[in-house]
Amino acid sequence: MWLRATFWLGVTVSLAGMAAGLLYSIQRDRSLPRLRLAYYPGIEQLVDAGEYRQALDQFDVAIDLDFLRRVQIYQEIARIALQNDELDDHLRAWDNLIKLRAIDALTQVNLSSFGFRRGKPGDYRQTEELSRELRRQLPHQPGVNCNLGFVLLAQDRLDEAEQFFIQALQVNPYFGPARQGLAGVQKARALHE
Amino acid sequence: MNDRQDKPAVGPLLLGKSFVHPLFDYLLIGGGLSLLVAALVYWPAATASSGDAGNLTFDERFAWIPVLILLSNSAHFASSTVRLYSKPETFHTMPFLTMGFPLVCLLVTSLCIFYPGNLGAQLNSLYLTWSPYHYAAQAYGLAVMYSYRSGCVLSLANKRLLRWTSLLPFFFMCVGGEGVGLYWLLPDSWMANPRVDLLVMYLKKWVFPALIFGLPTILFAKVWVNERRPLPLISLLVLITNGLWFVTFNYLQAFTLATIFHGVQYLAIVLIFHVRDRKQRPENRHGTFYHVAWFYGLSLMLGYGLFHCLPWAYRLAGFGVVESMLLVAAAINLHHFIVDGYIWRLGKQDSNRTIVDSDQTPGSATSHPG
Repeated sequence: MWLRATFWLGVTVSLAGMAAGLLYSIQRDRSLPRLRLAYYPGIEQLVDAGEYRQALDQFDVAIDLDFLRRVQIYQEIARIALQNDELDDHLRAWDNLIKLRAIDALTQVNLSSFGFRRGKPGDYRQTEELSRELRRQLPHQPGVNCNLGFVLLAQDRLDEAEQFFIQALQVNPYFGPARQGLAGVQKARALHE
Repeated sequence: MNDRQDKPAVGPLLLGKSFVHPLFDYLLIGGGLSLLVAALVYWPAATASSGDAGNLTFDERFAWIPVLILLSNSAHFASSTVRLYSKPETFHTMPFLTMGFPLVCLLVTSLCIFYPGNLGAQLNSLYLTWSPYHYAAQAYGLAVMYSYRSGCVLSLANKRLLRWTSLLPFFFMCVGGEGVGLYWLLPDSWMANPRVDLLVMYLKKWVFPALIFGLPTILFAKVWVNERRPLPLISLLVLITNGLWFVTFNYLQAFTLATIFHGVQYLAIVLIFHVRDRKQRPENRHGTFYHVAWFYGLSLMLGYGLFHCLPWAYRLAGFGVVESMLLVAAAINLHHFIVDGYIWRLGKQDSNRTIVDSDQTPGSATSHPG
């Protein structure tokens, strides 16, 4: 008797949960629950809505639960932090990637330039040299072009910076940091005007 | 002279007795299709790291996977539930599993979502450790079933060897990585020991790959000598493909590919059992297509509801997107593993036994495919 009761309770709760989830998704996103990979889109929505800290909290939960994707999660944190100009979080994510032995020599050099940029505000000469040298070696890497663009942007050399962001986008039109950089250039121009 | 005349041809014995057609059985149930797709996935993955494709985002590179996951994975996890409730007599023979277990699962899932860092992480580790065991058990069940259907009666010793051979990918995964298997169960300090690290590296790089691909060949030769007839090649293929998924790819790729193709394999076999079950009923008035469409359609809808809608209910209740999605998926997986342990049993009165026994050469079987 009690088994039959638990069966109907289980069925009711499950079906009600699915129906409520379906309706909530439609109401919130104006679409059916999407066939996307796990939780990334949900976190991106938080970032887009300006809930940067909440997105980072969710990534922390993901690091506990989704340990097989830890490298990918730290890479996402690094990307989102860069887009939001949160260099501390960006560097922390890369620090974890170094601990996980998940980055190559190129990324380490890129990082050191970011670190340098952050550590010595106003002194960009060495960072720029490093970034230009990297670009000579790897002209088609969007990350390298973008890095150089950011260093130039920080020195207010907007036309030069724009050129490298555009080159990064020519290689990969979806490269988020390059779009972010271009937006930064436009913002700086608007301020000058 | 007579002896030579009585001996059946080797070709058909090697091919084995298929359920549908050799091509269907070898590609979908044997895992042949996964070998083709794995090669297609592996090749671009290897070249992408040096080319422009390496710059694509995760979503862009794997944009095709979610649809495949719905059609294969989600439907397959749901199909064990559909099979549980559509198989004759299950409410009487498995009262707790059919009636009490769903509520228990919901309560455990909710509790884990409430405490994601402690309980949730344990649930996830349990699911990730159990998964390769489940796939190994399925490979063993299928290998024995095809052997039995094809009239190759395995001795107890050969069955044991087959069992251990099929479990090798599971052991391989157990020594493999953070949060899974030994790395989950044993203290971090033990596993961080450089000697243990070296041993694990040696086991993963040399010992397990050699055993995973070598032992099935030895088993094949041993059975041929001992039983005087070969194990059907599909039994060998099932074992090798399961090993290949885990040895060739990294953890994440292995879990993704293994679950997709395990799902394809599972859906094919569960549909065969369901259709034969239904068509054996005296009151049946429908053809194969109807039963396939009914069963797969229901599994697909339930899969979509469980994996894609239910997590939103937890989000509605205020929980985060990460714990809602990951832990609901982990709980569904575990429910499936447990249900599978019961619905594939080949008891003498069980309808499964009648299906396996149909159009086969006499022999004996004791195992289950799921």
